[in-house]
Amino acid sequence: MTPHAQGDSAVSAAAGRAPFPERRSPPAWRDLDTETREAFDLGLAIFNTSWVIAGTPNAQRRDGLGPLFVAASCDGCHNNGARGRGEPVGNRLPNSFVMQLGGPPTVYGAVFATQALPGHVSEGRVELSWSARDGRYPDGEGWELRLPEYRLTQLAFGPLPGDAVLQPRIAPATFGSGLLEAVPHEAVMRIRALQSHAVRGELAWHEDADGKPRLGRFGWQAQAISIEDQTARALAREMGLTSRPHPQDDCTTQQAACRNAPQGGSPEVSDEFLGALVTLQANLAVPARPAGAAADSGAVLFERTGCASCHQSVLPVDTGSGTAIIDAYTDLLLHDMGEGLADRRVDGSIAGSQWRTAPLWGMAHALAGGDAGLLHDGRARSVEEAVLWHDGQARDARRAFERLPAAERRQLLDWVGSL
Amino acid sequence: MKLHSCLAAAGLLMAALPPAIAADACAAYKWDVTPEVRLYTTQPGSVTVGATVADAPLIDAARLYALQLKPQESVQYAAPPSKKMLADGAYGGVLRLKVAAAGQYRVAIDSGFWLDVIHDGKPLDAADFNGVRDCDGPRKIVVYELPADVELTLQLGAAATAQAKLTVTAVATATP
Ligand code: HEC
Ligand code: HEC
Repeated sequence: MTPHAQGDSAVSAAAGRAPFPERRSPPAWRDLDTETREAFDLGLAIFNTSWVIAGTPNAQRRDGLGPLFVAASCDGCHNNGARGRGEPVGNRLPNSFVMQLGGPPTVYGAVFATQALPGHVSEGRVELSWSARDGRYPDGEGWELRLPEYRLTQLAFGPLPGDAVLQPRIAPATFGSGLLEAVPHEAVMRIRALQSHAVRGELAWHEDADGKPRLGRFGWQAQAISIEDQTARALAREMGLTSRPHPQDDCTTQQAACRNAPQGGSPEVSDEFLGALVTLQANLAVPARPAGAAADSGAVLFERTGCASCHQSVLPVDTGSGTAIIDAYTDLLLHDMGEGLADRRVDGSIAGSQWRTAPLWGMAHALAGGDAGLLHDGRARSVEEAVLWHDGQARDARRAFERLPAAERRQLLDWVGSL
Repeated sequence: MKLHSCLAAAGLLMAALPPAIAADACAAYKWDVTPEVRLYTTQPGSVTVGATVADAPLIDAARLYALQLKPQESVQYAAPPSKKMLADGAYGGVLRLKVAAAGQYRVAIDSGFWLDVIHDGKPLDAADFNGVRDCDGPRKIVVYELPADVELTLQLGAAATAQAKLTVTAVATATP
């Protein structure tokens, strides 16, 4: 075991990356023994499988969907493990879009279920419209951003209270989750201690099932403490499937038809299946940077404009057999990103504006398919738009970016797009 | 009580939903799917899928087919499905397809299942896909770039039901 000091120049190749020659078979970042390989393959099959209505003949292992849900498979939102695509034009919601509901609990539960099995009524529809925001760089070049506005309609269980928080979210990539889970929380605390006061993030402490504090790492606001936590949440809320950590799906007490619907087993997702899903994600690699990727002058600008103080290029991970370094470009901390990005309540007031620094690794793979949908709700159609939305604790970095000569702005954006 | 009346009202709403509203839902596709929606209102040709390529029926573009699928465990595919999935209780099968002109084609189905178009023993990459669950007719559409005058295999799998409707339509190319 060779522990590497942070920033050790001997550490050239970061762990966790691998080429993705075939999108439908995402690779593992380490060699897997036979048993783990089998669980990984089973996990991938489960990830891709569309669940069906409870009681479907011979479908025991994959039945129990809903009755209220958003999509029938993990893959339906994280296509081949990747992040959701955006919708660059028009008012369609992205395929992998989820409207979570925060604030005081409502009859609708944690996720607004836009789909329902036959015989049940979905909770309603999400309608999206855009308004334009434009501006100019100091050198005169113009830009235009689009600000989403959401309306929930056809509400099956009555109006939402004014203090309910609308939390629009697009699916992030699942790649590299095992590595993010393996970053020791002490390392995150060390990074925080070194951040200047203006950008210092907050640790997303949450309690685990035993009431012990654990660092939140997954989700746009780092609410989930582990891959298993995130997976069990997704099963329960987005798909209506129960599992050991979440023996109830997202039916509230007032939703009697939902609660009384037939179950596809108890729980509907066995421990073997949950374990296989976790094994898959714990080992999924992050797409390697494309060969001949953008010049490192972009990296220098990234550093100089202050992006790197949140998007950290070096994080230690405990791989079980030693320590390695990953280039995830996150600090796993929450930052106030200003009102423009904040969630809003139904009454229009501003709710949370704290976000986990989004990991930038795998950006080239994410952008390769077109239809980029960056930031937590997929509003940004390009890396440039994502940067222009940075405010709050990231305002200084954004301003430094805006003041760069156009050619250097381009270099920086191209480099981020090549990560 | 409150919930009861709520559900009853919603039930009424669904029963009273005129077809025009259901068709409107199809406008949510990212392309204009009028050709598919129109085909879905025509009389379908009944076809039983093959369990192997050898016994697979040949289908044409621009027609609606009502497919009778087979239990997936009885199907021998020409190439393994390009996506790993559990096949518990699933239905599937094989069709053959030949198109006269090369270009982009949309394969539209009315229920969730996995599709592969096999050419020379290998699955073609999909050029695009989109799904609209509330569209009354085509609910999922996958776009492929198809070669002309060669026999292709259309592999279906992971379906939850033994019946499905399917169309293959050429994507209209913009005329100058
Ligand atoms: C309906 C769409 C949808 C489905 C289905 C879905 N997810 Fe997600 N997933 C999301 C969204 C949206 C987020 C972001 C959640 C948040 O910020 O709270 C997310 C977050 C995640 C993350 C966290 C990644 C990160 O770095 O933050 C993982 C891992 C994940 N999902 C795995 C899964 C698995 C496994 C399944 C199937 C059991 C699944 N998801 C099903 C939409 C979906
Ligand atoms: C104060 C911390 C901070 C600084 C400084 C910062 N970012 Fe971010 N960045 C974030 C957070 C937090 C998010 C997620 C915000 C959201 O989703 O609403 C984010 C998101 C992004 C995204 C979108 C990623 C995705 O997955 O959608 C890009 C691209 C990005 N940042 C690039 C940059 C660049 C380039 C700079 C420097 C000009 C920079 N950031 C500076 C915290 C920061």
